[in-house]
Amino acid sequence: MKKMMSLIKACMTDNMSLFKIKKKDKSKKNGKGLTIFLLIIVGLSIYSYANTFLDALIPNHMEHVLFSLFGLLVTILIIIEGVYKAGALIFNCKDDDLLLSLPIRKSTVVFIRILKFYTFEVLYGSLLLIPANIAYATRVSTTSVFYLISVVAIFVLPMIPIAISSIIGVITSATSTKFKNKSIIQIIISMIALVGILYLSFNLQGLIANIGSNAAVINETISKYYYPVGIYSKLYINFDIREFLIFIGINILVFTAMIFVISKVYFKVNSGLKRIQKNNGKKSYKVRCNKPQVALVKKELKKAFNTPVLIINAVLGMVLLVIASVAVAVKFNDILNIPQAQMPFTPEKLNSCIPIILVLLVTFGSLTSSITSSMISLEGKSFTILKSLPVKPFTIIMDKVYTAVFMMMPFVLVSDLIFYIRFKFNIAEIILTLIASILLPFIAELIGILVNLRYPEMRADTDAEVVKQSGSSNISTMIGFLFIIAVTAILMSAVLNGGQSLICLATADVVFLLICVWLLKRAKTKGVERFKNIDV
Amino acid sequence: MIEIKNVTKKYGDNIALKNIYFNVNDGDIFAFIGHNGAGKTTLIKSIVGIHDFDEGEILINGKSIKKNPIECKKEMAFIPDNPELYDNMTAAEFINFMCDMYEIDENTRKVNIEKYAKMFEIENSLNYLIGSFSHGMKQKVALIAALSHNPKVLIMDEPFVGLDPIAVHAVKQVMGEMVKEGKIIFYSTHILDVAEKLCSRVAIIKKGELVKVGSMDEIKGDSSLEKVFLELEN
Repeated sequence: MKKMMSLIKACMTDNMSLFKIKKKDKSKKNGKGLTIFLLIIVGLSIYSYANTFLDALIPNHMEHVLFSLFGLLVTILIIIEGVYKAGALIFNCKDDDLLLSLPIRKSTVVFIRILKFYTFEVLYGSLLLIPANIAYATRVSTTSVFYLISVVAIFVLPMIPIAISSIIGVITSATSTKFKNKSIIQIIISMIALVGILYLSFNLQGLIANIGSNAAVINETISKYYYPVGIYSKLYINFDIREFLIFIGINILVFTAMIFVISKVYFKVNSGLKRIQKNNGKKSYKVRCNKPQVALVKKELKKAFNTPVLIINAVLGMVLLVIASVAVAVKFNDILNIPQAQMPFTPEKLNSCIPIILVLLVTFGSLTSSITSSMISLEGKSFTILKSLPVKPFTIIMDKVYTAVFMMMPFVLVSDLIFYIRFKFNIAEIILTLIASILLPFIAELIGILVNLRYPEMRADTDAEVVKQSGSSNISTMIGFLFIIAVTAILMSAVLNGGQSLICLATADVVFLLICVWLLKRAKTKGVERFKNIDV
Repeated sequence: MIEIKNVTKKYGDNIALKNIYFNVNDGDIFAFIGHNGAGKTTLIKSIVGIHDFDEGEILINGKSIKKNPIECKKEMAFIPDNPELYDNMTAAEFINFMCDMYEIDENTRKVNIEKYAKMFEIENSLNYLIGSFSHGMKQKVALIAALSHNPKVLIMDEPFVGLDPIAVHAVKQVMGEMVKEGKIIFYSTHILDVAEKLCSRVAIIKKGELVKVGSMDEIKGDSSLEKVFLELEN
């Protein structure tokens, strides 16, 4: 036990440093301040989201359904997150040689790996559950049992989704070991799993849209298909110690069983992933000359396509953008047929808003796909090579931005094309939306690289830790969400208050351009300064 | 010529380098010696422009590394002690990438890659992924990548660590060739007997301060470099 505790302490101390905002004394307060500010904003958004649900649920005396919904939300988000990060967090870690050489059981190594994943997901889940619980407690009278269930749920609810996503991660990793291009196979399988999960969760949207009248059905459906969330929600209205223990027991049992199962295949999958094809060594090598900028972009693309977690993380937002564009194109007539009393727009107004809707979708897709927020950290110790090159730091920084934008643009252009063809955009609309479609990915990636340069994590054990669990990627995501909220609120309120769609678009383009120029200037000054100061 | 003029580097309150002052002349093989944590890597990283320093100046062939880092870097090649290369590239891709960075023409890089790959006996491994290589193999790839752009100044941090005897011999041979052409070799090492045989000049650093610098004969006299080093350390 003592051995286990030392191991956990060593691994977690190392892991949790990923959340630390590494700033020198002078600006320590600013770094922490930004994180706290962003957390408060996200917390407040979720709090108001929970309150909206409660507005519909309280009149029907179904307020406990809030917990079914949030329990399910946490479950789905953790599974989505975990599907592509679990494999990368569990297998092929940099400290494999050290841990596997120690006189400890395989299941202990697996437990240590999953504990890191679990800790992060508890923090992630609590970001949703705590504001929801606060919203509930301020609107509904509670007892001390409420607080007991709330605290226990934060630690227990992530267990089963982690188990599910870990098993999917293991299957993905195990399957990929049978192929030459392991990374591509991992990307494909993870994407299929993700699209499947997204499809299932989208199907719930119809029910949730009319939450007030559907509350009982929603609760029943969730309880039927996912018992632990059903029991969790039920505990709030009718606390029973036996059911409370069952709730904890089921989660712990599934979690433990998953560790046992994974430990059985751990060595096989891990060594399969580490095996590198060696059959092409004697083929003649090719010498091709490239300009430094082109060579750097090629190098970044190669790195990206060999880092499945980065690609899936990046592509997910973009895939959602294309799916949303197709959905709008296909379902637009249905939206027009909604009775006017339920709509904030007249059909004419809605028709004139279509370019704005496209820009909002591109804003969402771009700002949720911050690829550069981990590109500096992913260099790890090889950052020394970049620093020793006879190339300006700004060129290196921008090449990372270009690579990310290059990866995003095909998806953005496909979405644009869908809108242009389906809604027959005129030249002015095409030009204005195209400008936004070019500027928004640049804004997203410039924000990402600046945040990563400010909060680099060069010593992570796995790529997944950098891409999904680092301070940089999380701060970028939060800034991205604030940007999306701000752009949506400003553009929608402008249109709702009678603003001409084209004028709103043109104004938005000018603002996006100004933001882009400002970010470029920051990259040239602060970005370069931080690049020089990163020490590995 | 490398001119190091009163270089001071601090990490917070900790002084890593204090007033370091010496020159490395063209045609020198210069050994930089000190115990672990003495400041060798810090000075090397300052010379190659990876680290900034707080005071002083470093000139590479008359150009300031602070004011003209790109020009200085074009004349240098750096091999770190623990070569963390790009694991997802093959050896040939990495060497080619480095040649792209130094804008080396196709002919020169072909000739150099062939020459050094043969010398370090990795011509059959050039298409293997770097991720599959041992430390020594990575070191060889880093050496070939560094030599492929014909640097005027070669800076190495512990170059012999992890290399097999054939590769060590090849490195010594390359050093000899470069010196004949009037180029500079500057490297840190703990292998004092090799340094004693190879180097024309030597500097010893202790706790960030330069304690001795001069020609090998001046430093060791009738004694051995190891003895002098141990006496200074005590």
